[in-house]
Amino acid sequence: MLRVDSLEVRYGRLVAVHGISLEVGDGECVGLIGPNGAGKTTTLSAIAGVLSPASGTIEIGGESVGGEPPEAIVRRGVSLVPEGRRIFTTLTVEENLRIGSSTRKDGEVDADIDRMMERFPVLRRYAATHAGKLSGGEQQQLAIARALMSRPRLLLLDEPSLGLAPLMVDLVFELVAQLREEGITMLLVEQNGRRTVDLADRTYVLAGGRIAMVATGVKDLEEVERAYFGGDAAVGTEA
Amino acid sequence: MARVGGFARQVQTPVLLAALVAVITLLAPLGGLAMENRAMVMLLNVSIVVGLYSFAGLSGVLSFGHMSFMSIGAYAGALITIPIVAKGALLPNLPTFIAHAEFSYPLAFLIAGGVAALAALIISLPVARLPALALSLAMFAVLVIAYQVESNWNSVTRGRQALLGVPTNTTLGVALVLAALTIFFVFAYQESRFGLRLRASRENELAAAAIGVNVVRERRIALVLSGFVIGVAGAAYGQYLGVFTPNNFYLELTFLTIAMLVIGGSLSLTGAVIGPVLVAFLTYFLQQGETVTGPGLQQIGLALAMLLVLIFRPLGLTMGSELKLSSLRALSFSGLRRRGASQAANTSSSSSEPEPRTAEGGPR
Amino acid sequence: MTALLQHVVDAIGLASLYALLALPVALIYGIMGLVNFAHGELIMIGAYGLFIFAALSLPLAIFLMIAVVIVAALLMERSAFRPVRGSTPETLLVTSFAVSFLLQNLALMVFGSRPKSIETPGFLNKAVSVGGIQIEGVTILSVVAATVFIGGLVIFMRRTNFGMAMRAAAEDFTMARLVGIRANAVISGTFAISGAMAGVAAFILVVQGGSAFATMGLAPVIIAFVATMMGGLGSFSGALLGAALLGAGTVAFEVVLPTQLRSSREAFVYGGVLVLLLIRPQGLIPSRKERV
Repeated sequence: MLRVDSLEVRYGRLVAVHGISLEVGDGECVGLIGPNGAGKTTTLSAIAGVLSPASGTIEIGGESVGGEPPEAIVRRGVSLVPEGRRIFTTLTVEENLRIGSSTRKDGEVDADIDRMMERFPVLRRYAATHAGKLSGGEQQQLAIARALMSRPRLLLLDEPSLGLAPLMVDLVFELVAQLREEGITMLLVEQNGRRTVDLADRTYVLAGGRIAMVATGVKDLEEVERAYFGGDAAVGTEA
Repeated sequence: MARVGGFARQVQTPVLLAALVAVITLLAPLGGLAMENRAMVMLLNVSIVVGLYSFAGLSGVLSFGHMSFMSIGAYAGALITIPIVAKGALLPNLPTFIAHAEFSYPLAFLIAGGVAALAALIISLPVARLPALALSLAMFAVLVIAYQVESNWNSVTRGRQALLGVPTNTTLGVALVLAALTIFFVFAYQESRFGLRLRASRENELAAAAIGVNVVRERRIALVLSGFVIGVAGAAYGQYLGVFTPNNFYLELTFLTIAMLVIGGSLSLTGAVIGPVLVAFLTYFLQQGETVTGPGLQQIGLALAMLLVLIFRPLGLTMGSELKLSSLRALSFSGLRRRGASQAANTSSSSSEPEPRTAEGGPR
Repeated sequence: MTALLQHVVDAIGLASLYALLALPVALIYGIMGLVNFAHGELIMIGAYGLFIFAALSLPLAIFLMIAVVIVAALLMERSAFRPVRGSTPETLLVTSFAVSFLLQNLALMVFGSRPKSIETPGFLNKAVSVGGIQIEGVTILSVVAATVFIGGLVIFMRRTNFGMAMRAAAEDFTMARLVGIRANAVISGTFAISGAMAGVAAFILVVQGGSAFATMGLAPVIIAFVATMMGGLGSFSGALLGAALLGAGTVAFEVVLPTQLRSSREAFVYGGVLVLLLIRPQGLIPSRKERV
């Protein structure tokens, strides 16, 4: 589904991502973890087309897409739930869902909106409300629902649990688990290392713009913690 | 000793810039009176654009209204230098304190600058507090206000009629001295702690505020200071023209000076000097072309040049760097290389110029 | 009483025209952070369009003229603003300033410096008397045009997918692209709308002034700038409020000022605006949005 090879991304002269390679197969849920500034969001931004790679290739469904703008990437079936949610606060909740279907021309948009509201009852309750009025957890649900409205083949999630109350964090991880059950291919960026490793088929550990290792179980993670983050540091703990 | 050395290294930029305009000015009379005239216009433009740079360049906030300070300086300078008798005939309803004032020109320039600075101070009260973009637009409103007042204040400015009989004190020498002084004055401001704080706010307004820079205050200082510099330049410009109307200080001049600053690069003093110099040459060639195309090519060509710079080199030709001896050396070496002088290439292999392609880029 | 009502009617007419000028400028700033200096030249192009199409019947001439202005707006975006898209607002502003100067001088070259007079139907400059109040045809035209455009725009923005996309893009341009909204389409669409409004404004200004000339875009664009600035850059309702206050202020100064100062009317109005900004530097309705 997604293949990233030797990706390098720069901000001016600053190299944020140093030639990383990763892969997400069809139906897989792949994690990408690491401390602040490791290049997680930069990597996702490059995949989503917000940033152009300085070098390396990004392939989606076997086709090279490096340098394409975001509106083209999303048409290839890749949908991003960005860091900080970035829902459209001046639009209503329903409009936020509708705008998530901007790439679609089929007649099932209304039915899909209904399905989303079924799935996230809070969205139905506030359908006509400006989305800016929702709480953080509600906004996160809206952001994920908005991304799903494009019927993506690959869902990119950028720190969906960031800044949420513990109960909401549980809810978000539960949701990701559900989506995984439904067979949606996902690349999940998180700071919450343990839960991500638990959930994902594979988890890439990013540090300093490079992939430090690939973890498949919590044991691997502990090794990483010792090696890169000095023992019991941030990776495994909850905020 | 080290401090003196550091100072010399720093001050080389204004020295080189002043030398550059001086050399052009001294060569100009060889081309006859027309060339001398062009040199004069170039020198005055250097003073104006460097004055504009002291606000717009250092603060990063563009101003569409600084030519209003220029017009204020021009009128103020003219009104206090026209002989009293002539003034009585020309402007019978002039307020008495102006009607009876007559100063010699160097002092009159300073007073004119002071009047413009005062106007800038008053304008800065609301304007300096505005967010950057709104400030740019508000200065445009200031331009319109000044233009309208000057166009209608018949008893002082003669309104839309030309102000005549202004003593033409601005000789080539005066213009050269003024340009040089302006360069040094603005350079001193740029390197002072005020200039430093202002430049910090240009790079990052929030960060500057966070380290204690009062952005509004620094912008206010820059407005007043640039008002003074441009006011003096305006007085000199008025005494070069000898006859002028408010139209001389309106849109065309606003565009020309902004174009010069943008083309040269608004992030360095060098850009503010190089811009008017380059535009002087560009204008010369475009005016030659106008004999074929008819009038207008000059303005159109300049606007196109400005657009090309904005699209392909948005920071201007200098891109924020200052003229230094080292850069001159690099320039002359690459010039020699282009002519194929291989020994020059050898000696400069240790120079800081980064482009290695010259090795095979030279002819043969 | 009648005199006061007369002033109110005049102010409404002027405010409507000002709203037609300010709204497109605020719209484009909201979408892409560009304060478009060259909007005035779109109006100028429209006026010359009326001059060129003068031989045709008026409705056809207006239709063609507006089409020409829309095309000009699209070309302007494509050739000058797209290459600098994403730059700082200052760079965008100065780019539009260069475009403005370029178009003015092209017009000077093509049409010369003498204004081209344009005939418009006499009834537009005639006043009808309603209970002692004189209402000019062009006042009615301004009010109708402003109402239609503002109302139409509100409906368009609320009810259509394209309008929704515009609102989303105005809030967060990158995110809008991430959900698949085509940046070029939204920006081109916004320029087309601004072109249409410039065309309508051009017709009103030609009815009032009777001619087309190269620098005629200047006065309208300053009004648009001051109105949007007063409203707090980036706020549509702020721009409308700014236009209303500017219209009212202009009429008020016309009434209050002694005859010999009336020709400096704008100076007083803008002076008043500066005083207002002394009190409210962020504008009347500050927009909290940070542009990237």
